[in-house]
Amino acid sequence: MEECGNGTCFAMCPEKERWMREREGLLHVFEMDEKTKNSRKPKADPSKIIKCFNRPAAGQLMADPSQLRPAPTLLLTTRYLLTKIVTRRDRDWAFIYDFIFDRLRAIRQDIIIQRIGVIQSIEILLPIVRFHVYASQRLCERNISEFDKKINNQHLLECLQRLLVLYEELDRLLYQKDRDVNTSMDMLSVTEDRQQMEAIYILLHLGNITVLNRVLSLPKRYRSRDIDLALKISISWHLKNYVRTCRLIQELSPLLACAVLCNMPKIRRHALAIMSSGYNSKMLTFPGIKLQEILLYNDINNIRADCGLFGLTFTNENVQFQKASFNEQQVLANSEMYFSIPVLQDFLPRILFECT
Amino acid sequence: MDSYIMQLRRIWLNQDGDTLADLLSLRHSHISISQLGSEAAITKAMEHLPSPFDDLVLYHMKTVHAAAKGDPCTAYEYQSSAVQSLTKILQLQKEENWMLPVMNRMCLELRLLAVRAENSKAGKNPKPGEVLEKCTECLMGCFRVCAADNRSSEDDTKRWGMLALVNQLLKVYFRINKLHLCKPLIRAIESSALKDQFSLAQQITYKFFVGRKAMFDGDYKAADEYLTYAFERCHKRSTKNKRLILTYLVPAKMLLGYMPKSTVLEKYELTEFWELAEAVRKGDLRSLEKVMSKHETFFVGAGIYLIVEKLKPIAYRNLFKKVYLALNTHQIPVESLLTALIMHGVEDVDMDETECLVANLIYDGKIKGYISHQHKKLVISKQNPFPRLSSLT
Repeated sequence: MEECGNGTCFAMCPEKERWMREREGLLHVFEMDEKTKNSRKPKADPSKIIKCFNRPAAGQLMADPSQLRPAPTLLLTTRYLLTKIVTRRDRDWAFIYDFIFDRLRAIRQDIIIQRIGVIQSIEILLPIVRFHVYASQRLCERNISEFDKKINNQHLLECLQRLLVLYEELDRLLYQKDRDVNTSMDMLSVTEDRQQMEAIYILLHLGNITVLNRVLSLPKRYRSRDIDLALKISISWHLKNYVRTCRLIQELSPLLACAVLCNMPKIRRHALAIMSSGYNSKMLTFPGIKLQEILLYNDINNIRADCGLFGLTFTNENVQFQKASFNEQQVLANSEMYFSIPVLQDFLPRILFECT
Repeated sequence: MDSYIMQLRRIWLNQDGDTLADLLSLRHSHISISQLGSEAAITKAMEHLPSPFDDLVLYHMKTVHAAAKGDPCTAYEYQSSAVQSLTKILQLQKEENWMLPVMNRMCLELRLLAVRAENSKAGKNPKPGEVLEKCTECLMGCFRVCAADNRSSEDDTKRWGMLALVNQLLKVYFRINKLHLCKPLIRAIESSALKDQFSLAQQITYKFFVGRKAMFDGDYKAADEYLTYAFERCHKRSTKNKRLILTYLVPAKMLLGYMPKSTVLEKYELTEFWELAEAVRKGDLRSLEKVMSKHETFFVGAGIYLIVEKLKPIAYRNLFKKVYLALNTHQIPVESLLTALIMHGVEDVDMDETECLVANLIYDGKIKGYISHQHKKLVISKQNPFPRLSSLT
């Protein structure tokens, strides 16, 4: 496919949109000029305002070059959002997330409309995927009115699948061209990033047979430490070995841990169901502190909450497992953060850009 | 050359499906006619053959020509166009199904060409499965025409062609690892009134794939049923197919608690499973792990690596049963189970994980009893603490 008319907007936001949003009072706090912030009609700071997401409507011309930002501008905008905004401490992070989520979505839309090339698309999408993975952990305890896991996950998978397809396309491009020294240097870091993305894909689909079979049949040279570890974790879960699964999770790098932790409510639910059979007794109890260690609970109070959810008794910091009382209808345990907020804050923005 | 076209014309008018299938096959003697792809031949075909049949023949001739030149990708493209013109013809033919043999042959050869095209691109094309995926779209076109033909009488309905197409599609979906697409096809066959009347060969192929699908869904009982049907009815002399069926039937049976006999496995050269069965029977995790890595390529290639992985819990059960028999007590120290696991080569295992393995076995009904975490004991039922696996539902 040919590239359709490249954008001519070299600012993060097209002028037309800026005027319109100033006029209509649709500026986000992060986009306002500091001096006019408290006035009745705040002005936009041209270096801060960013094109927001608009659902394509019938009859609307999407391909107006003056409204589209070319690849370098998109990359710059992504970097601005994921370094300057993501690290702000003056606002609640859910608020920050909402702003970034929307502006990144507009960036993805610009990529698609302009059919931006493979390498540049990869460069932009990569930190976006990481952002959604990170957010899935950082906001997992939030109420649905503040953070919708499902929507985040849906966008995460959309970006990740697109990215993995782009890597395949890149492979094909490189086969056609003769590789010179420069590209093979570039390739080195691309491969590392790609393996991280493949590992994330495995970890998001924990225990999924189709995904596992695909990875197992990949040639050995595509395997890396990350992928091998992700594979081990997923296979452990395939056998519902919750002890090993949770033990291995602790060996993952922070970003990969964030990815697999999305499955924690599912892991805990199944583990508690299995334990309700295995430790089934009217007299005996299981120490909460042990359960905390095995299933990676941060706060023993959350064990109490989960026990309540599944109809198990929790007294004197001990769980009484009883097969008959386990509530099978409940398919997920509560969400709990694994990393503390200061630790997560410290990861920023490095975790979004470096492959560690 | 001329006689080939005249023959086509006559057979078309006679509505002789089987002969026509031969004349449009890529494995029939006519493909050695050297001028088949020439301008003259094409003009001739256009002159003598009625529309829309001429389109079909035209594409067929081009396919033969490309295949003869050793260009499987182009040959695939032409064959795909040929099948598309066939789809149009089938759609026009109301209340008749004499073309079904032609459809079966052409669709089969379409898939084989797709496989060849795929292989010829191997290494050069990092997007494996692309051609095969396109091939399924083409097959689906035929399938839709057949499945929608529910007005014709039972003798004339094109629904008789459904199962052959479904089998082709299942083959491709399994090859490109898109198992979720199988479901609607299986539903279409299961709800069909002709379900048990299709030819035996087609039913065997179908049951083979449905059995494998059930296996991936974790329904080993159903898998056993379908695969056993396929194995028992498969022709005695098609050893290759019988072996293929066993590749899935044996692990399904093992998961249900039926261990294979060495004679069967030797007969079909499937001794990998014998090593596996021995390790599972003895509860020898170390040799189980060894067999799995030794034959990893085979298991992964057959898509049963994860199924084989599921044999581990059975091996744990057998090992724990041995510990029970040795200690002869109903209160087995978890410590002893752990020692047994370590002795049999399980790596980095501790008390917590041992309890987890036991809890899973209890959950699955493979051990009757409960764990006392405080006393570090597995307390097992006085009656039948290790029920026969084959007795579990």
